Amino acid sequence: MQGRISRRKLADYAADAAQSGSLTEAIREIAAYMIESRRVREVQLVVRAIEDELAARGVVVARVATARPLESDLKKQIAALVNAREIHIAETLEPELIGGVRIETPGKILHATVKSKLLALRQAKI
Amino acid sequence: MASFVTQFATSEPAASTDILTGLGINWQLLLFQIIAFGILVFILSKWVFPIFFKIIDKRQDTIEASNRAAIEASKHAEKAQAEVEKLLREARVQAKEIVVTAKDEAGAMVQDAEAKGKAQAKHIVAEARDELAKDVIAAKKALHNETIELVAAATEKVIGKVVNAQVDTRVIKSALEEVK
Repeated sequence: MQGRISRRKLADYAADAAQSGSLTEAIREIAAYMIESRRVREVQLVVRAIEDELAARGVVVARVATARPLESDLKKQIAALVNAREIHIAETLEPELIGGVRIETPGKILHATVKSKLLALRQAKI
Repeated sequence: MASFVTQFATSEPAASTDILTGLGINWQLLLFQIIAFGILVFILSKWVFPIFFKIIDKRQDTIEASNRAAIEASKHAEKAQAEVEKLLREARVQAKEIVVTAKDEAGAMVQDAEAKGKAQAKHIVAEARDELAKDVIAAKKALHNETIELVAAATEKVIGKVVNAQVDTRVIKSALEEVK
């Protein structure tokens, strides 16, 4: 019986593959393994673990959420803000944010959306 | 008996009878009467007067005793009167003291009641003020929260329509600048 592979090992494997240029193949293998071992529920956690491992190796995946598509100069500013050897921006559109940006990197998160400011205003209730 | 007296009267000497006879006095009869009077006095002083004197003395003693008793009673009465007056004076003094004490106590009770009433009134006023202040604070909080909710809702609706791509870009740039 095959033993259970930890998320950390899976993340190391994916990070190694990313650095060697075979990330897509490695992701497929990991996905197949997780389906076979019935660990589909852990997908998000594995993705986080891979991102953390890549960040530790100087490759940061930044999840950027905005209400409208980001302009190129803004992407450059975000990349400069993250200050990593290599950065990959995973952009998502969320119109309910109204405006502003939310940037999530391993270990850090920046809420600068209009929605978060309105939420903070609502939380200022006594 | 009349003949016996007459016999003595007729047996007196004739010489001395001249003057007494001239005065119309029978000396024999006078002598007899003197002797009889002396006998009477003797008898009276021997057996009758002592009884009377004794009775009188006793009566006098009784009267004197009564008198003394009366005097004593009078003295007692005066003493009793003085005692009564003294007691009355003391009673008046005590009554005055009681009245004064009662007035003082009544005054103290009234002052105490006033003080308690004032303290209670102050307490009630303070409680009412506290209650009012709490209500005011609660009302302010409610108003504050409602205002925030209204502002947030209005801002959400207005900004959703106002914010365009340019505004959004400015907002993002501003946020990134702040983080730097």
